[in-house]
Amino acid sequence: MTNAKRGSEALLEAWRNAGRPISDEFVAGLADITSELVLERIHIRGIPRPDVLQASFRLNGDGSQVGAVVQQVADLARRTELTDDTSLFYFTRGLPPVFDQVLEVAVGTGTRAR
Amino acid sequence: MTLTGRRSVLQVHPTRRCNLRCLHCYSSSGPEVDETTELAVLQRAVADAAALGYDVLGVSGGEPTLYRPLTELLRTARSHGMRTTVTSNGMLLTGRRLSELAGLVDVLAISLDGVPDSHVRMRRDRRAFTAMERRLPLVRASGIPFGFIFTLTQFNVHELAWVADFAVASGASLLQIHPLEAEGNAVDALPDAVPDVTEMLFSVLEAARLRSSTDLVVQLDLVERGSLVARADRFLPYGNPDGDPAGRIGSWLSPLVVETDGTVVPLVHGFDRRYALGDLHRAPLSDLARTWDPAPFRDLCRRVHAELAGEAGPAFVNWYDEVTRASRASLVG
Repeated sequence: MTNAKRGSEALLEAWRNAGRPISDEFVAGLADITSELVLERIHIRGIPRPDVLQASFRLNGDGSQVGAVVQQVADLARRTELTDDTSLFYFTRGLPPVFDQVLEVAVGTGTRAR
Repeated sequence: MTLTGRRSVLQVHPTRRCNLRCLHCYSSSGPEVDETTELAVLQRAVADAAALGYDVLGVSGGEPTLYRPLTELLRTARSHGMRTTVTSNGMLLTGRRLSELAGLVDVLAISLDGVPDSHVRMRRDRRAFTAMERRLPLVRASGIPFGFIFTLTQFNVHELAWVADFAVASGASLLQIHPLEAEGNAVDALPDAVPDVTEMLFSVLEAARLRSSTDLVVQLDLVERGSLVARADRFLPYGNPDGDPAGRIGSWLSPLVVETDGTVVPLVHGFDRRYALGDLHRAPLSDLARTWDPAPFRDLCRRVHAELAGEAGPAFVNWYDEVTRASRASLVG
């Protein structure tokens, strides 16, 4: 074989370079947009480069701010070139009366070996 | 219980003819090799094997689809209630050939040695990947369950993920990972490519990851030392009196291999012939099984097991390769 590199070395290299790292710009922008919301849960995954971020935010009040927040997060994903890897979920809690609105943001696809 | 679980496998290599000359071919098959086994000899062996407790016929080669009476051989196995598997390089699986095999083959295993460039390099034929890939829609349409066999080397564990993705996209249900052994062409062509323990360990990790991230059945032909100890009955072929009251050879020795020249050996093609059961051209399998003295083979397995299962043994081993190499050392009682 002319290829002298171990498969495991190539695999480790692929793992190190896997996924799309979440940029400082995205995290800072998300923190700014959601600064008025209540952070319920945040999960960041990826060693050594975080490439998955999942967060749930609670919106107080009548939910009138949802549209604006979603638009800002969508713009942020587009600006930081994460559009394909970003998901937004909005749902309410309570059968009526609604007592909470929740926005979930998920970014990244996790580690892939190729 | 045997190495092949609750199934007992008769593996036959009916021809060493092949359209390829792969670098890793354990039987040194190729287009210029004209050795085949007569159908009648194999049909008798299959019938005897079924009576001896073997319930799976595995057909390898050479390229099995170049064995003209392949369908007759498979039909014989079916008539004796055996399941069947065929291992092929996939290049010659025409619609006509597949229609002949449909209903006679339970699992079709197609060799795939990594990304296209790696596959072509290993197969020494630039058409090897594209020709095989072109056949896959026909394979899928045939309804024959199929999978891929990947030969793990020192250099290709990182290509497993690609192979798994390719298998899923192709509609395969099985991915078998078999470590390269220093046999046949590989002795000269791939002298440094047999995977060491590190590569084996990474293949274990990759196999686990692929099992959890795909629907493929991922079979890795390696044994961890803990299993050698805990499941010693699989590796020490003494038979299970409770499993088969008749004590048939098929209840404790699997795979049993018929090489192209008619020689019957335990475990793998190329096993040292001092341990052979004999030659099918001289006596039928039923007679060979009855007159064979299994004691040297059992002693060999016991010695290899004791060495590998000890605390100083490696974390993972290719049991078949370990026993085969030990078989070539001197016979020690």
